[in-house]
Amino acid sequence: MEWITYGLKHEYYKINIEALNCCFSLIKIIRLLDTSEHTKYSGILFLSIVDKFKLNDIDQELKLTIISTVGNLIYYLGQAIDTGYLETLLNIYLEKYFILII
Amino acid sequence: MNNDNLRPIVFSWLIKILNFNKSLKNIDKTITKYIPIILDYITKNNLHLQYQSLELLLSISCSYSNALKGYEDSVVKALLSIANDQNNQLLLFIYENLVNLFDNITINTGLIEKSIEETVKILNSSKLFGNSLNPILNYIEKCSKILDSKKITSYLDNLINLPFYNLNQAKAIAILAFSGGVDVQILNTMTEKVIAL
Repeated sequence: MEWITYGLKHEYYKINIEALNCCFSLIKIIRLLDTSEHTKYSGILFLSIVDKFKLNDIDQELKLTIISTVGNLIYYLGQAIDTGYLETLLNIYLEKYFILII
Repeated sequence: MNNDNLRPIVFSWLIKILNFNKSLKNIDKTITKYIPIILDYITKNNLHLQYQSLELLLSISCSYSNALKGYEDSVVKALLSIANDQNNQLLLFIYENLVNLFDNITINTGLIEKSIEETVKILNSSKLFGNSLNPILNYIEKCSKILDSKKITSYLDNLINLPFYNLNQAKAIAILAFSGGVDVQILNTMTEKVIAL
């Protein structure tokens, strides 16, 4: 987890993308763990990703990877994510969609 | 990758979250903010945007109907305005939306009466047939149950004097008559006309 957080905060966007790809795969593995672990890890992943997810002025490849990773996080661990976190993510998705539409 | 390619991806995840089986109580206000934009895009002449806006509206009316408070009339008016477009490929989807709205929000009775009249006109000119008409007929059935039977009777009185019916229109009239509880005499006249088709 520490390495993922480090990768996500790195200045070089390619490293961010690799860290996100790692998250993408990790989410499926976390899903296999005991249910009690889901909330803990989904919280950590949310907090690591959310800052980058809020940004609009980033590389398109990074944007696409982060959208899919967050989607994957919700799809696999949505039931375990804190409601407040899920609301934040939905807010960002709505904002992004309407920015893209306009 | 440009924004046009990114939009469907964001859209598909957005729909998944909106349909997510988890109640997000504080999200209604945020969604309300975007309703005017959704309504604007429903009426735009772009099939993809119209489809996405309708899908969004369907998810919102199912899971977050409180977000539509204050916009009930505008939503129905926007949907009816595009339903009137004869080349509309999304006609059935529009009526699925209307049925859903009917179940989840309170619609003005005057607007329902107007929508029934327009729906019968749409059916008259539509080339759709058979089961594909179900969303439209469902809408008529739901509406007719809450309308005043006198109003339905006077409306049907005008309709049965028309020189010609097509099958779609006859189905709509039959649903209106049976669900709306109209006069037996009108029912008899109607039955004769339908048999004569």
